[in-house]
Amino acid sequence: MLKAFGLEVVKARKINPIVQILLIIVAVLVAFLISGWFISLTGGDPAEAFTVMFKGAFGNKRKVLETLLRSAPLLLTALATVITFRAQIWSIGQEGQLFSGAMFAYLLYRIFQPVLREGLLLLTVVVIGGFLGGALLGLLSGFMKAKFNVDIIISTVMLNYIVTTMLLFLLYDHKYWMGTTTYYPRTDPIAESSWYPILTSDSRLHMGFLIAVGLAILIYWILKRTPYGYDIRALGANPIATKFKGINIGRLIMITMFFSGGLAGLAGAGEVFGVHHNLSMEISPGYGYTGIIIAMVAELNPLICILVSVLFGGLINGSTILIAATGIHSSITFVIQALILMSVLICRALMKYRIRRIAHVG
Amino acid sequence: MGDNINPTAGHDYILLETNKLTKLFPPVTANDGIDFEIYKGEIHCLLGENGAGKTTLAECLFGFYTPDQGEILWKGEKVQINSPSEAMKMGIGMVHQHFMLVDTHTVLENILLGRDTPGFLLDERAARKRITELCDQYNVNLDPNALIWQLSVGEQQWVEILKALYEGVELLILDEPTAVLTPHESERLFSILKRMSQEGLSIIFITHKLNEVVQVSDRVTVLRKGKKVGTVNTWEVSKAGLARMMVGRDVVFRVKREKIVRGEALLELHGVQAQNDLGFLSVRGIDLTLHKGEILGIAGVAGNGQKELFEVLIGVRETRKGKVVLQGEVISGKSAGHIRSKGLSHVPSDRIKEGLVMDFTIAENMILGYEWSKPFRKGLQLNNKVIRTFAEESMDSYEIAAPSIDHLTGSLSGGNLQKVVLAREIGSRPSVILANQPCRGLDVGVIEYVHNQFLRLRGEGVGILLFSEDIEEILTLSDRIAVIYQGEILDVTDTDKADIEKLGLLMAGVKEIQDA
Repeated sequence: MLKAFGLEVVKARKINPIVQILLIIVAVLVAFLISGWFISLTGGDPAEAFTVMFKGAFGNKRKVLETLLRSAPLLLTALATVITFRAQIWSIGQEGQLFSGAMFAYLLYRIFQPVLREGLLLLTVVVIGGFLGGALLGLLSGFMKAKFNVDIIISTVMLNYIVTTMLLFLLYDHKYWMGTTTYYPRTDPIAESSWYPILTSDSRLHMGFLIAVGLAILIYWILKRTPYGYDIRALGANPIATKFKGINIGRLIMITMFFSGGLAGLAGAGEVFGVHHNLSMEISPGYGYTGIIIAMVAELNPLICILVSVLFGGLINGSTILIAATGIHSSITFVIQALILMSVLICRALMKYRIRRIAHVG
Repeated sequence: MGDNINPTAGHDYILLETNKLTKLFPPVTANDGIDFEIYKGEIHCLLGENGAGKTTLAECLFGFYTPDQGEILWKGEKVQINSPSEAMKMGIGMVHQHFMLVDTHTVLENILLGRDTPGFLLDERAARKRITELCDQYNVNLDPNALIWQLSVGEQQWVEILKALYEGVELLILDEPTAVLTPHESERLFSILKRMSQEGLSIIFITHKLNEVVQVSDRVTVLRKGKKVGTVNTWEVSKAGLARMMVGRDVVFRVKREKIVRGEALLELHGVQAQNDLGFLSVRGIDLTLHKGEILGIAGVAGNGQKELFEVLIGVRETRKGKVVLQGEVISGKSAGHIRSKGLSHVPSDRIKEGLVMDFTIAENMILGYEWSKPFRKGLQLNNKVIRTFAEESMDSYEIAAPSIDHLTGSLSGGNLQKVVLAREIGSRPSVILANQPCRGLDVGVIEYVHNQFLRLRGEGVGILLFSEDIEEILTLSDRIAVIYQGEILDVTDTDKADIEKLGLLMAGVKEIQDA
């Protein structure tokens, strides 16, 4: 079609990595610029809005720590996305796995708390519970894909609905889960002795953040340096050659979905035991889906995910006081997130290809 | 060769001419200042190794690419060809290596597809009549109402040619037309092409096979690395001379195959049956035995069950009936990983899709499938030191032309890609190698190299099952030849007693030769 205009698309020459990073930063700035235009359309003052957001996110030490706190679940769901998307397993199930992780961790807490009381052992049970809750849900999708060739996208999306709606049902209608001290659909509070340990005395930043960062580094290492990571990359880049060379793809999908689900499940446990201290629908305002966006913006690189998670965590935190301070609704965050994703993706495409005029004969 | 026509007699009318034609695919110069001309009514071969720029040149003439520099003259006038449909209107037709046909449509519909027809409705009756006339004229038996998928590859090629003839082209470009044909079908194609040229059609025939040049063409233009080496009258040159022009050095044509005593059975197939992707039985009960130190050639035209049989043997396709035994162990029904670990390695027919991960580095591809095996793994980690040493040694010994082992595989040429596959598959020290069309699309030099590798392995006692469409290759390498046709082995003969005529007929499914 372009040919009609005397243009053609060709592969671009390799761009210097530093220039690439600069261009990505420019793309993010462009996204903010367009968001500013949206804000001005609604009658707001973009400069004021961004200042308020920035101050809300990174204004002082406490705000920075709050932003890091917010980035922990985002980083975990982003990592869950990274390992599946690298294998071209299109799992969209992070949100459901986050909730099932939270539910399983809470369930184990209720079972073991009377016995273990408190302490490291109970904490370990809770963390493992969070991991397993998400992992088993992920494994279910992986199993259905491997054995019955059920599409991963379909099964994970459906399971998101099933899990979240089931939790809502339990919170409203099941004695074991319904809180006894409140009319809100939430469980009774977690005993303070069982909360995730706090990292600094003057903030809520809990150990879940360290777990997430540690896992980001671990996953980077796994993908780069282990045979399992090699298999994930091989499957993602050429499934046919992977199959021809005798790599058990069904098993690989199941293992990967298991770990991916586990990572998302850890995010859920962290929100229950580190932030909200009870289980309700409010533990995730869509962290699972935001994690997918973060992973895509980070080009599926676990280390870059850390940075992008902090940026997105800051966006969410910065927007919470936006409506009080400027009258602009906090949903502008989602506009900004989406614009960042699109402009970064477009920027990457433009770095890979270029359009040029077709040289004419004579 | 003797009956070629002297181009200077009656071929003086220049139909098409290029002047300093250059096409760039940065950083590669695919065509570098090419001057050549096509006379009316001549068959002109474009000869060159893969990547020499033959197809690019043709695609420029067909309007698929726009040249970056230079000009094209059609009947003496400067023209700019912007699209294939413009080329067709001018009178240039092209049959690509990969056919551009709609499988679920009929021959007639495919021929009419994309034509500017006056009015809304197709005049099918007139079209059918014209197609039947064309078929009769060239003695081709083709039902205009047949669906494309029901046709053999050779017949599909005819549909492509008819499409061009129907349009009334004056110049027909054929891109490696014999790659998909049996020797018999090729012969027929050649004789028909000669008739067409005598009737005034000019033909550009792209090939890298010297035999075909000699058999079919009036003149030949040799390309090497995007540059024109020269244009010569076919009757004036020898095969060896053409080969030298093509590769820039002398090529040994025959590889030495020493007599080796056949060892014990390595791989046994007992009544193996398998289905293709559409669920049809395409391997229909094959019994074969491959011995130690033997190359067993499976000759046959593509699509006769080779792909399915190959996939059954490497463990990625289900065995419907029968069993496969590898060194005493039944491997049918076992996983591909298990079979590989038992010492069966393979060279797939499509190295890009089935053999390599193009986004991986060369070093990474060298261990594909072996990443869990020692010494490439040390504990939980990949053992980079061993992997790098292995990759570097392989690069040296297989003469893989790449800047380093950390280079992305996707940037290598076809020959080097195949060398990466070979280095890996041979490096795993297998007892049996399955090779499906290992030399398809490779340069003469690389083919010679691959053949020598196989013969070396055979000398070391490895059993090699070689699937090939190229009868020359089969005859050169194999100790025994099995001909596969429609999923069955029609015959197994010792190569020494093989008769090329009979093999060609068997490949076309003719079992008994009737004495005339």
